[in-house]
Amino acid sequence: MSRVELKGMGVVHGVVRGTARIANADGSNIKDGDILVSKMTDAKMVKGMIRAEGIVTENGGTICHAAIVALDLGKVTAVGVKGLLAALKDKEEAEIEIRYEEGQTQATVTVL
Amino acid sequence: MHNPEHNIKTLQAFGCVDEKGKPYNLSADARKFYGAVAMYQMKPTEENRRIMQAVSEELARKFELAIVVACAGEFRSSVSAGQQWLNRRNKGEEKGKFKKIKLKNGVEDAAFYFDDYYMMSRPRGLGMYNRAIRIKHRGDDGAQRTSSALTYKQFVLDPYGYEVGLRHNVNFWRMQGGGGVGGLKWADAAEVGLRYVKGELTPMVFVDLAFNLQHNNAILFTKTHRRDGHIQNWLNKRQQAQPGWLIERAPQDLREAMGFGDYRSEAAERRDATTDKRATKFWTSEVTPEVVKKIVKGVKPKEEVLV
Repeated sequence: MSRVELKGMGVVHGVVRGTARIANADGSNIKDGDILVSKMTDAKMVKGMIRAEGIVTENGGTICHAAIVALDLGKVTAVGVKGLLAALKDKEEAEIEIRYEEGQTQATVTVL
Repeated sequence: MHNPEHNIKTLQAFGCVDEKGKPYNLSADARKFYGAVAMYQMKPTEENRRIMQAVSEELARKFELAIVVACAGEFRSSVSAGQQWLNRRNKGEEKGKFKKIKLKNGVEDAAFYFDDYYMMSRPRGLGMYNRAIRIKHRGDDGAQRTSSALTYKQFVLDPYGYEVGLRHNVNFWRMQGGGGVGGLKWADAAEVGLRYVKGELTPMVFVDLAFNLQHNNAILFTKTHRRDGHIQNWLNKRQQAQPGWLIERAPQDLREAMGFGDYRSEAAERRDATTDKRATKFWTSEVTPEVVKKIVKGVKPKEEVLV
């Protein structure tokens, strides 16, 4: 089994591990403890974001919708993770780690 | 082009103005909110979180009222829009559509205790609905007419009507099916307001969503707020912006409160260093900040500055 590491911008510090689920339009397929994966998030996904343990998006910056919701909910979140959807399949195990590196908040998303 | 100054009397009447009696400044609010968020990300202390939440709550109060006022303004046209749609249906232009929409969207959800009165299915349905709200919350004072102005006032002034009014907006514009007013973007705007009023959204998430609301071709709050410069471009750019870019544009008092009073982003430092380096190629004397400023602005320096 190959490990793939992807880099992005971190929002809330911490480490979470869980089943990565590529969110549908309203985030209804996200169960408690899942990691929500999406290209971008929007208002319709908020309920799914509340249930998720962590959030990862392929696009977006540190104040995109996903980041604002994550800050408010205190969810470990990585945004702007390039190549995310190409590297990750639905229901794969993944880990998100967010920490300060060289004065910036760095995110590492590992597909296990 | 919308100009909130044209509606200043309405905005003042509903308290949707700043301490000087002018419409809120959207650009300043955007810089404040996103600056606070960026600073909290850079320095996530309890004190900064408290400040960020306070900024969010202040803006959420403004935006809640602004959404209600804007939706109410648009909703004034709903009587005529509903009638037009009904006329088209009666002519057969909307054959088969009406029944489907009615069943799908369930207007009874909005129609309160008027269980069997659908505003679109009966010409006076909307008027009856508005009168029902008035009677329920204020008593029947004999007001029989439901003009568009009355719709507006009821919707905005009646605090019990906020939720019902917004829900009515959502359902009405979703099932409208064409016409020169309203539309799905208005339904989206009302829905965001409704979800906040119902407590489904926190102030912070609500404010972020509210900045993205639009009507025909512009930000929703161009109807209720002043703005400086190209606010739409600014809002587009913020999505990919680095925190430093936002912090530099935050109000100075907020920056000082959150511990970023003399903050300079790395990008700004690099920019300054590059400018200094280029300038020293042409001037052997000391390059003062004033000279650099003139070069950056493209102003030709005076002769006495040259060696």
